[in-house]
Amino acid sequence: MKRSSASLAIGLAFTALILAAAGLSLVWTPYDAELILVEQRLMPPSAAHWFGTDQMGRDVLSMILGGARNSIAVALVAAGIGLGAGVPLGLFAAAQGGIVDEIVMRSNDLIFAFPALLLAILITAIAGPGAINAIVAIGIFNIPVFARLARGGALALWPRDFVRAARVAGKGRLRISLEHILPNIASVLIVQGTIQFSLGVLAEAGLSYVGLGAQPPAPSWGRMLAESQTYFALAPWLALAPGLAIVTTVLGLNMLGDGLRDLLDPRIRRERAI
Amino acid sequence: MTLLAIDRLSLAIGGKLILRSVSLTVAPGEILGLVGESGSGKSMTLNAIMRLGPPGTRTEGAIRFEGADLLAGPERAMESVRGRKIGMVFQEPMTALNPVQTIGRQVAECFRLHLGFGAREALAEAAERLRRAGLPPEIVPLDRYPHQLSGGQRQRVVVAIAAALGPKLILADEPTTALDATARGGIIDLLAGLARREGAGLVFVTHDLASIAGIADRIAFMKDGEVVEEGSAPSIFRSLRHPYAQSLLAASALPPIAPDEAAGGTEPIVEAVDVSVVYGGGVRAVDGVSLTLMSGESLAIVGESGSGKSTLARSVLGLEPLAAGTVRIAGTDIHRASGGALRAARAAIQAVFQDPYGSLNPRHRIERIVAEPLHLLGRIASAERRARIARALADVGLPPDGARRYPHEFSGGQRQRIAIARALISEPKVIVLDEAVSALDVTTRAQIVALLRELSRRRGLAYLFITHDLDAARAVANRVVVMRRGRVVEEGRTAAVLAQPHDPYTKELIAAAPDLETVLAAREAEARTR
Amino acid sequence: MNAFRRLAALLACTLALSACGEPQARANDVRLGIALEPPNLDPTSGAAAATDEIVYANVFEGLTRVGAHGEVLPALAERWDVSPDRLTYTFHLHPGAHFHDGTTFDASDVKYSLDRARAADSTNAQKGLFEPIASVDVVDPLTVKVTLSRPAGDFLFNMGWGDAVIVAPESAATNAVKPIGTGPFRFSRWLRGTQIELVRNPDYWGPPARLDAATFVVISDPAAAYAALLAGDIDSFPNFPAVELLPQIEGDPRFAIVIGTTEGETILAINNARKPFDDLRVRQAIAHAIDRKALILGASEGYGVPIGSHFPPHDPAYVDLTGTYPYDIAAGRRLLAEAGFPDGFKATMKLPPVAYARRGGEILAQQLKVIGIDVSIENVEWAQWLDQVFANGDFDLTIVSHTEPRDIAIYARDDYYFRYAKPAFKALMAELDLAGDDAVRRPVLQAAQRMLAEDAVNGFLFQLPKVGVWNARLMGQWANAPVQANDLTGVYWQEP
Repeated sequence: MKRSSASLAIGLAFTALILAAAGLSLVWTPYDAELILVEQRLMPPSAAHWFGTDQMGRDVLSMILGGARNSIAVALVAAGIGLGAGVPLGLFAAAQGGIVDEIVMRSNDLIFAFPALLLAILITAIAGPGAINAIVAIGIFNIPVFARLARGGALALWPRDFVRAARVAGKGRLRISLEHILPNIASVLIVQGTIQFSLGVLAEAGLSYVGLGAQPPAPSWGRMLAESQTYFALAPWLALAPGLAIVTTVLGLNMLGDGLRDLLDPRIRRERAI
Repeated sequence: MTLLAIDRLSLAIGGKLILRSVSLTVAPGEILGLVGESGSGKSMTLNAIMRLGPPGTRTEGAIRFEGADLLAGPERAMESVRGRKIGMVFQEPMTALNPVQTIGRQVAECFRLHLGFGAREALAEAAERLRRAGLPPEIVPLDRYPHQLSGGQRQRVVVAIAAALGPKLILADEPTTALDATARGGIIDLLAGLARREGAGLVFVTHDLASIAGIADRIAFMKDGEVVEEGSAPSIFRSLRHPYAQSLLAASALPPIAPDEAAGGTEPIVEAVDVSVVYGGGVRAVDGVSLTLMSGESLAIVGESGSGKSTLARSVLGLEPLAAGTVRIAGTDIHRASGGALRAARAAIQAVFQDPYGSLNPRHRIERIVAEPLHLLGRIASAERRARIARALADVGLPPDGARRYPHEFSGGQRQRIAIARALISEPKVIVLDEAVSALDVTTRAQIVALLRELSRRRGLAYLFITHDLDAARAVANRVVVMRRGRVVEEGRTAAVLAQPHDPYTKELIAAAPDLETVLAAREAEARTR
Repeated sequence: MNAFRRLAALLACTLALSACGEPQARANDVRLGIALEPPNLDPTSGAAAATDEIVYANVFEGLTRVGAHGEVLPALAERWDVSPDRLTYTFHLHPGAHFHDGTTFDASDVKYSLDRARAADSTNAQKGLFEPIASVDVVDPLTVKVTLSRPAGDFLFNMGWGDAVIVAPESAATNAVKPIGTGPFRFSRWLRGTQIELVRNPDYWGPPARLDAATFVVISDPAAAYAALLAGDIDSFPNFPAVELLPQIEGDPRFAIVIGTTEGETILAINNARKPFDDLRVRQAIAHAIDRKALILGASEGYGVPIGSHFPPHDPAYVDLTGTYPYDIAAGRRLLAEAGFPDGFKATMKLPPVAYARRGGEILAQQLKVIGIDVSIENVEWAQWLDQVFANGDFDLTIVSHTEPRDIAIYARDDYYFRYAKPAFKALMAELDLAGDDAVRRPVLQAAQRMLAEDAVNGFLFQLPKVGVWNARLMGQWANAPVQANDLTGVYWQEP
């Protein structure tokens, strides 16, 4: 319990920090993240600009806050797509069994077979760059993850006696999936949700790095990283800021996921009185 | 010379007292039966001897093995004791064995690990031990995997491993509880043989008096972490003093049903005609079974695991698709009906399953669980709903305020009552009880059986009682059907079939699971002739 | 003790041997880094700038060639005569020249090349250069007569373009992948995606190249380019892609930084045929909103001379028109209001993948926002830019640099993507063609510059600098880029 609570606490702290940054950016940033003031370019961190300014004179801290909003939004909606489409798909496959299950699972495998980031790049290259397409591309990859997880969890539950009892009570497959199966796999889905969320942040950063994520002038961590490369010796804060932001977010979310998993599992075990 | 002396052992985990000043002794070659129900601390005692308790276990007192206090030594000392000087046999053989290693390898491991034998030598020794455990390599080759053996065979492998290095003391924690009746006897004899032949002490933990009544030299009864009574067997059974021990003895012998009780009326409730269920791979789980259950009648279906009785129960409930045949519930074909007719049929037949922990959704409140079948009866006003829930809970002897609680707040027996309440709420004509009392403690089993009989009397309920426990069948059912490998081998009035079986398999079943009285009588007779 | 000493001796010997490893002498070849891989290696068919950057003057030669300072020099034609009416050019060809595959070079090859370039189905990227040619006649194997239908002032210069090099009928069809020319270097091989290798032509008709071989390595990532330079993997970047890294390289004695000029007018191209950009006031407003100094600083680290029209400042005929519409936000807003957009309007800007365009685009978008034009940026790849913007004119605004020399005449073409083609301007270009010497040409050019500036046809930003970074011992590379080329004929390694 000690080990997992440390994980949970740190994870929660980091995640809360980034979420606060994203939320704050909706109402206030120290400067306008998109305001270009060329004469103020490449200033090192100072009292006026905590993280300095970039090669166009934009305040890096403001860009980090705005980028937080972008990363969180993309990753969250993409995870939502995965959950919203994947979980019903998995539950459906488990409930139907037979050929339907086969079709759903093989389609899943098809998507899994593609290297995720490459296909996301392909999708955005065809459909055009931008945050919306990035969400769709990443979201598509979340679907098979949740479908497989939901199906696995559901399959383990269908033979259980309380599900049999519900069938004896005449409830149909849809109702059973919603009333009995889903609540009992919820904790696994939540944990996976945090993991997919962190992967989404990474994927968004990757897409933005190659120019396929949020387009200028909207700030984006990945693009900040890409643009900061050639300035690294001159202005290292330009790369450190977005790099640290990405690491903090991904680390925080992963630790949150780990902590949640430890927290949720023993509770279920404890419910069984011996 | 005492082999094992537990001296006023008290044990607490996380501040909660589990064992209170337990004192027991075992002499070499002596068989001690440790009897109690769940929560009595009997398994914990064995774990304490082996120091296998969870971290945070605090102990007081001593456990002297061959003179030395096991609790006082360092962990390293225990490592040389476990497996070599003290062997342990657990309840569930499938989880005690590594599923991806052959049985030969697992037994040989003991010799390689503890005695440093080479691979070939170790395997030869393993073959010998398995032969002694009743698994000669000609019949059960060493390269078999656990899943390729039956439950009884697996448990023999576990015993072989426990006994491999010739331990002085063997601890067996419910070794036969998870086994079929026919396998049970073999394991009991095997363990008893080890004690007698090799002079090993045996502590045999169980909740089932009948299983050790035949072999124990001494019996100790435990309740709530204390030893409440102990003495020599078989004489102790005739002279129990502690009220709990007495009630346990009483509960072990279920009163059989009266000959005309639950005999049934004239209206057929369940008609199964030529039912067959085939699994993938062509396995005929149920092969052309026909039976009829009259209203108010109690029919038991007995057999071992793999006999098809549970599959038959599920197909009667309409949960399992039929390969052939029909099942009618109060005249409606439950597999082909739909809409209102299906709902009516389902409302007429409800079920109670075996596992009290798995049959209730842990995330739902009791009221929601119990009310689940109500939707078969159409729209019901919430006041009416609440009333029905309260009535159902009252019928099974549970307080109405239990409705707002969650399953984990109840004991196993209480949960099974909740499951029965759920089965009653739609006012069914028949309830299918699939091993409904098999996972319960002795006293709880007695209570639930009494409840079932009372409910049947009061409401004219018919029961389809699936069980491998002949005692329970005798106590609940008027008629019995014996199944083996998907087919019916014998049927008739319960008392008649069990007293005078015709089919050889039925005879085998009865012989393998004697009730307590029969065991005691046989033992006393043997004692007199010596 | 004895064994120990023997071991030590063995160790010492091994170390000594490994020290006498590779000789320190430098191989006599050069590795140059280029940003874009050419689509093919035939400069006379669908050529991109990247093609010429590899093969011009190295593998292929024309009748004339352009020198380091933009002057017209003889190449395969050792001398020529021009008729007084400037309609007939007689070229006298070098004897003894031949193609890399052994076939001889003579007047028939010249006729073949020029006729092929100006044919109706020609895929030459600069067909306009050959448009004035009426006929090409072989007088004798070493003499060619080219007759024009009208005087063309730049004709000799135009024949020095990469698109006008001479090819052989035997090899023309496969020049795209296996270029066969007459130059001092031969094509060796092309590792797609990686590099193009040339080797010295030992049978060259003129003074031999001083290098044994040259490899053009494709490195598009600026950070990778910098790393390659520092590691010594690349000897020279004629156009170093990361101007922001120059401060890191300055002062390093291993490298020389040579900043020169190119013919690249970097412009904010405006679609003159699309509303509301067809209104002069709107274009004037845009011009007033542009702060060139900030733009050059942000997009090009301050390297680049501001321009006021489509003409390079280093050209003698240049006139400084940067003050035509000075930076004036109030004026910009007022003009937009007059044009009917008091609250501004929305527009899109398509940007190709070059630093000056992507960075410049962000800066310009913001500058335009100040006067009320809400620009949304669309970053596109070169293929998309060429297709959507250049070929189909489907754009509002874009930023690009036109690196062809003496290309002010593009503003007279009906089909050119800015869709300007004002009749008065066309008249000026016609006049230019008729003009003979510089004295007559200069006022016409100046009038043309003024017209473009006053009409604010495009936003004229700055002249693209040529930023060359190379090994300090590598001599002879061009400082400027009067044509798109990396002329290696005079390049050599200086002995340390």
